[in-house]
Amino acid sequence: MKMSKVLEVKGLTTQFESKNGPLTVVDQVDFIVEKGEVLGIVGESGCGKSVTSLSILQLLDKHGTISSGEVFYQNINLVEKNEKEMKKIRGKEISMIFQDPMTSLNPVLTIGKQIGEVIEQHEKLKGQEVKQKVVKLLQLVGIPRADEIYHEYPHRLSGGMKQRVMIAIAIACNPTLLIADEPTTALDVTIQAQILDLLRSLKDEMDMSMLLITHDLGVVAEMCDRVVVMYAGQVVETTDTRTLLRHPKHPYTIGLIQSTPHQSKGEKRLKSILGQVPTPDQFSHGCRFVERCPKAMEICQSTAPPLYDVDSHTSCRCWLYENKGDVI
Amino acid sequence: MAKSEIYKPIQARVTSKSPMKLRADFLKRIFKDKRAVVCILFLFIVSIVGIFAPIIAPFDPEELFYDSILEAPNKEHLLGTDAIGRDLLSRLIYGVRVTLTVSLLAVAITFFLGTFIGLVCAYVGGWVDNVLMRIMDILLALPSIILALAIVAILGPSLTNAMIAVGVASIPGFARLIRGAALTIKSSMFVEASRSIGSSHSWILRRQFLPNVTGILLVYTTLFIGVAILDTAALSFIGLGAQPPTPEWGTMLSEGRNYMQNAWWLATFPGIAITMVVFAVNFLGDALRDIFDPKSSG
Amino acid sequence: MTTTLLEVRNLEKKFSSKSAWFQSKKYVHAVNGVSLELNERETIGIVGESGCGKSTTGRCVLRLIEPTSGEVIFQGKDITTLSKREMNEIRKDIQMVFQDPMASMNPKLTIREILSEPLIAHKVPQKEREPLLNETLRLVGLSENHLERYPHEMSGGQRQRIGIARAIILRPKIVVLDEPVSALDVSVQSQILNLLQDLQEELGLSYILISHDLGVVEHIAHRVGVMYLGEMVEMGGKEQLFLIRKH
Repeated sequence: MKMSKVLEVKGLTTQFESKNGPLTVVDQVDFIVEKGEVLGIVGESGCGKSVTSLSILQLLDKHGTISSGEVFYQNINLVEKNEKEMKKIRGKEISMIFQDPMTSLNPVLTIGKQIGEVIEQHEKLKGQEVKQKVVKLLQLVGIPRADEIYHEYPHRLSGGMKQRVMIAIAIACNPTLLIADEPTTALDVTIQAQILDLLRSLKDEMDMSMLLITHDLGVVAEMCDRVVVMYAGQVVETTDTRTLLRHPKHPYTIGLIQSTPHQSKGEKRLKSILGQVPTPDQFSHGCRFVERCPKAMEICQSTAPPLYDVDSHTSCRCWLYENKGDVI
Repeated sequence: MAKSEIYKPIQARVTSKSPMKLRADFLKRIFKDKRAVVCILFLFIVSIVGIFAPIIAPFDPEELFYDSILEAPNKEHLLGTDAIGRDLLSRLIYGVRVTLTVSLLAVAITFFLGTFIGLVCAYVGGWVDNVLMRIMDILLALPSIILALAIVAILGPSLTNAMIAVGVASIPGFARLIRGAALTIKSSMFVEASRSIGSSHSWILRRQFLPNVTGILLVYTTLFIGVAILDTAALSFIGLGAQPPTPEWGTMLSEGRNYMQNAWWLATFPGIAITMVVFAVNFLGDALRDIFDPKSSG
Repeated sequence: MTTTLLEVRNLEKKFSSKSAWFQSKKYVHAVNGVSLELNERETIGIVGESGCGKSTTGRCVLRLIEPTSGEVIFQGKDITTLSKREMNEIRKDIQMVFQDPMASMNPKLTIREILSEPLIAHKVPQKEREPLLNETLRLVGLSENHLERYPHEMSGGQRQRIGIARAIILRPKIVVLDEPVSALDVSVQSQILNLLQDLQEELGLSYILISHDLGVVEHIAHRVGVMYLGEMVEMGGKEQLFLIRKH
């Protein structure tokens, strides 16, 4: 099977205004989403993963701007599109699910209305046809008694059900790419697994690609084919999921995996990464992880490392890998 | 401006900013807001005029010029004279004193009792809240001016009584707004944390509630000053507030009404004065609301 | 030679749901007959999904929510029958750490003011306060430099350290930990869990740990209870938890 790129992000840099000048929240981010794959972006809060996804769809608020870089969706550069052109792409070509289903639904409209609206905006369907499609969608996302739920208001549904509705809205127009921003974080553990299952089966069924943004390595292990690890606005490691979990390369990734309680079973103390995640105004000139890194060297203090290719499918932003591959 | 606008609740905002920074930041934002600056400047000038009325006013407000009755604006009497020959400009200038003092005192009554009732209702809850708020609801069902009318009718017409009436009549609205703001704070985690620590009620009210409602209090108080000025003038207009010859804008408006046909200036200038001051106060209140409203700040 | 520090017997909490006038009241059983024992220097974990009543149980122990029935026995006394004043005395010995350190601190107060609150509430003499503040900050891995800051000037992990400092500054016997790390970044969570274990050893604390995260509970708790729909369905050693996970 020949892979083709659905989304290619090149050198994406997003800045936010602040009192002390612009802050670079996303810095030179590159990644590719291949057709049919699930790419994960992992990182802790403030690493820029959500801003990256909002930048792709140009959903940044008034303080944020894309200052450089390109986002190619099937050879169209989205960065150059204006708001009107983006509206046609959002929902239809690329759609998004957010973390909090409670606030993303309009409390005064019925479920059926809200899903129907999206369909009417993008497709030329009328009245009864729309309703049929909505009910079919509700069934597709595993909502029982879809006919009744059609007439219900959001507050009557549980969190998991609401997230299913959000997914129904997102897939209503058969998008090519689905961006899921922490889709399960606000949900209970048992519901999380169900929603992940649903997303996986929908992806296959509807032939979508997926960009999954999460802080949870457990979700990554369940869902993703390849992973981009972000730290302090930069990509620090890109690799396939198996390699990431078994042989992480970047000291940050190593620390992250070791500090989850499941990994250090039997040990009295957890391994942990010292210190705190830096905020954009505290980024050092050298490597941004240097203050917390157990393997920091002299060069790390002064010069920022480039992204090295460790092997054909792994790259890592760390001086430790300087001699193991070529700079890309 | 519709008076009902005032009753739009502001969400209690638990800012993440420190008080010091908040204060500096807050002043900076006020001075960045052109509306606010213009309003503050205008109200400042008006207050100065009121304070230094004896120096600024060309004549005594109660002095009668028998030879110039109902004179149109001219060089000697810039805004003309009234039916018994008093200088209109001087009366307007002295009127600032009466209007501002009365409305500020009225708002002080609203402020203290309204805040107290609002906080107590929110904090104590239960039947205290129920009883007090149902009473407030009943009073809210009447327009505040009608309520004020009823109070003056009981106390008898005078400026002091009008002031009390206006102040008391605004309490229900004010208390309700403060209660709403305080309820959000009551349900906040840091109040629960305080309870888990075992802090006393007064400590919780002083240290946890008050710092978080100051912004809201400031906005509402400003907006209620506008209401108070209007209500005081209205009571005086129908003869239940300031009694002649006190130079009060509402009274002057009422006196001028009889001469609308042949002496337009008598009713027009007090009317303009009331409108401009109320407008400035409300505009300032709106500007403050924008500054404190979570939705308007990035 | 373990001694029982706290015993909860048949704890029950019903919330009456709001009903229209003249309608008979409906009740929601948030906690239904929960019993547990907490020994000295022990950590019990309570796991369950949101809405299972685990947080309500924790709050009932501190009487932040008044239990409908049942007993909470601490130092030989049933604290559910104490007056508010007597209960405030007990609060010195039972403290709580909240899930969201940002929300559980008044943003308008400095760290010094926040940490002083328990000292003021329990009338610790003025001259003992300063050493206590400094020592407690040191215990949680911070320094007196942090005292004049505001919560928003600190990172999430530091804020939770302050939350823990506030809970231990009176040197309580029991600390109820309500989801102490779930609002934190992954790399910081493990720091906080380690800190909690260190403090337990150093100060001889007992913990009631409420969490939805099996990994966290498994790591730090000695015994674990599983709650489901307001009832404690299982209580046992950590090994049993492994079985639950298989479900």
